[in-house]
Amino acid sequence: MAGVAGSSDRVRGLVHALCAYVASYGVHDLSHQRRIAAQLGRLAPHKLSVEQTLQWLDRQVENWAFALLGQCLTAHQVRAAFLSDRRAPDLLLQIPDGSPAFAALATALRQACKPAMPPVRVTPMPIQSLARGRWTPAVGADALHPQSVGR
Amino acid sequence: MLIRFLVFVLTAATALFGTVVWADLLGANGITGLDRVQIVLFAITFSWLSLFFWSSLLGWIVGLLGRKPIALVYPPPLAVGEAAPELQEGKPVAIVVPVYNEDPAAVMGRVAAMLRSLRALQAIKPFHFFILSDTTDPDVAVAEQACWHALVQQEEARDCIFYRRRPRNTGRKAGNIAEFCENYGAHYEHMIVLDADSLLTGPTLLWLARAGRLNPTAGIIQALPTIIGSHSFYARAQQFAARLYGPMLARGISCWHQGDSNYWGHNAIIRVDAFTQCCGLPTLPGPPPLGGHVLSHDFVEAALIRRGGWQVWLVSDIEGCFEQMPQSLIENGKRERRWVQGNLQHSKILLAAGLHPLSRLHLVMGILAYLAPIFGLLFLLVGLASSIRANLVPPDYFPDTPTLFPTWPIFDGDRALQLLALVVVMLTLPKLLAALSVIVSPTQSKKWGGRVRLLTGVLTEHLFTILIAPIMMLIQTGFVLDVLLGRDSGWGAQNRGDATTSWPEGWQRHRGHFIAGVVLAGISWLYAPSLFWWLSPILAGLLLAVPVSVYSSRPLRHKLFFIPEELVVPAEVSTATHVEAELANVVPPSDPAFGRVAAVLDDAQLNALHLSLLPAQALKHIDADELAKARRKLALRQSGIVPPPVLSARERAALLADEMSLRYAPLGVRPELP
Repeated sequence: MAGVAGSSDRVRGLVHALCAYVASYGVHDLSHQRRIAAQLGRLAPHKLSVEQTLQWLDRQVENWAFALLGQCLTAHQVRAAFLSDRRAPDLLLQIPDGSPAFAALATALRQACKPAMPPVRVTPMPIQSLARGRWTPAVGADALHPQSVGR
Repeated sequence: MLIRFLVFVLTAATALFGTVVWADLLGANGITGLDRVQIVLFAITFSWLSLFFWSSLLGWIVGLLGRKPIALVYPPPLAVGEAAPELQEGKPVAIVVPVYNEDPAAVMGRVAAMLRSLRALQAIKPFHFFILSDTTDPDVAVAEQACWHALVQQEEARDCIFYRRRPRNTGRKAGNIAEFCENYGAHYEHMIVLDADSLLTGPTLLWLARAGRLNPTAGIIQALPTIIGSHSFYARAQQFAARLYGPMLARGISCWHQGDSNYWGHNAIIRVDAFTQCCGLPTLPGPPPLGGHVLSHDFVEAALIRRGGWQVWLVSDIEGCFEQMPQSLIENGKRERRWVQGNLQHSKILLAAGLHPLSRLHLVMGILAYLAPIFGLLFLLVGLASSIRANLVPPDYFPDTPTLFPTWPIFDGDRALQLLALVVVMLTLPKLLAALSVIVSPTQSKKWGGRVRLLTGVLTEHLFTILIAPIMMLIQTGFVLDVLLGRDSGWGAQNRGDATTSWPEGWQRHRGHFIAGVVLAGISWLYAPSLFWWLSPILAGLLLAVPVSVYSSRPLRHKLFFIPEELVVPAEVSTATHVEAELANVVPPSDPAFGRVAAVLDDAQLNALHLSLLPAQALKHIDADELAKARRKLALRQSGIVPPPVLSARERAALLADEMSLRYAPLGVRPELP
């Protein structure tokens, strides 16, 4: 009996977590939440803990975003994008209905998923010496950098 | 070059004249050791005063002639709606705003104002804004992210307002900018460096960007900031003085600096490749305060860029470049403490190889700016000692040399008064000329609130400056001694908001000045009564230090110290205030136990936003014990314990860096921690 009760607790916990997970993407309508949560529950591998299930879902979201947008995004970024663009959750609900919504979702997400910073392009800054040394004569000091005068 | 030579010759001649007169006055009865010290101190302070006097006078003359003071190529004016031809091609311009525990709504409000101003000119395309956060306070960090997100949503500016927060503020502000240049600088040819309180209008940003493109030899073009937004008596007096006298002095110094000028750390456009090549700052040898990271990095960066063969220009005649200042003497003192340390650090850089002579002069002047009060104080004390000695030791009427008549002590009062008059003229003439330039023009006078209000402002500011000068002298002397005794200033965030000084705080901070005033007054009254009245302005400042500090920190209700930006408030200032108020509403409330970290735990949107901005290595800089404590307290909170345990600031920072604890928190899922 204890095993059954434990299993039922796990399922209840999983359903609750999945609904919350769907809600975290901006889907606030309870019936929609339950419908999507049920679909996700069926898709997810069994015998995973609640947290592992959510991590598995995150990986799926990341793969889905990569397929949709062609860029590597974390699940947090996708979630942040969904919550930033009010249209995205509605479009998400329409995905099963056809591809135009899917394309619109891609457009909405592409806009909202713009990174917070441009890509890193490293240009090292050499550390300068401030050691004492020869004093520059006042006349020679006025010379300009060759690059600065286009030489 | 000729003008520079002329300024140096005039400065040297004036300083020499004053010093010779002073030496004659003191040496009339034979020169003692104390007299020699006094002469040296007089020479230093008088040279300092002379340089500023002649620079101001030069600025006034150049202004009067309507000449452009520098040889920098200025961008030609654009017709309404015309695109800047210089910016049509090439890389965009980065506008970088380094922040450190600032009010995020205010910072983002100013960014919004600049963005809108550029959009109104249809000139936003070549500009990218960067909020470069070094914020260490976790509550402020959460508010920053919420405000940034709201701003980019509201302005639809995800393409042009970027945000990043460093997990650790290595190298402080210089390190913050350097990190940007190293990782993102390759995308940009120029960057406009701002401070958290900077506000530039769209036309000014555009002007700087165009000037950068038109002058390929320019490594730095520094704009002259105007102080705005002051409301206390103290800050308004400083704001008024800076607005009225500042441009004239800046015009003068820019005229003799030409392309060898200086950088003030913000409100300047910098060529990124020049900065990257030349401005990798080393850590200075030895422990803080004189060793360690370079605090006042701006002067050093200007010197290094100049050493690298790039020019550094100061532009004194463009408008629409604003900044703010501390609202009280005490808050200003806190900022000065860091500047004192930073400038004294420059003594280690002064003799660095290959620096341009003028760069060395900038460093010397920075150091002297904080040593001058010590020289002033020493001059005062040595003068007092000489006077006491003269009073206590009777004159020797019959020296050893045979003479028919007694040797009377000589004091040439007329010459002393002439020298005093010269000092007064050198101190006040530049101010009077600046005021005169406004008064003679009815249009200009109107902008300053009318002639009567302007003259009242000039007089009141002058009296106030006399009153606070001795207080500042002792404050700065204390700071210099602090640094020389090896005490580090740290890197505190500035209080840019309301900072009214209470009576207990005023007494605590200024009781030393009051006591110094009492002692000085007593000694001079008893032992050198002739000097007492000469010292009275200094004594008044010290004896009134507490009430002056307290009352001057209070808001000024009437419109004394009116500046033109208050008659016609720039649209950008109004927009910044308006957006700041809007963004203040998106700052999540602070929980008594978890601060604003609670919002990241409970609010799905903030949670996703925070995690999406979290750098991969964030946890690397977190103390493992703090993290363990924070996780334990989080578990207690999630178990529903009432009241929840309180997280310390360090624990909040640890939790904010811990993706594992945060990621499913809004879903009510407890993390399976290792």
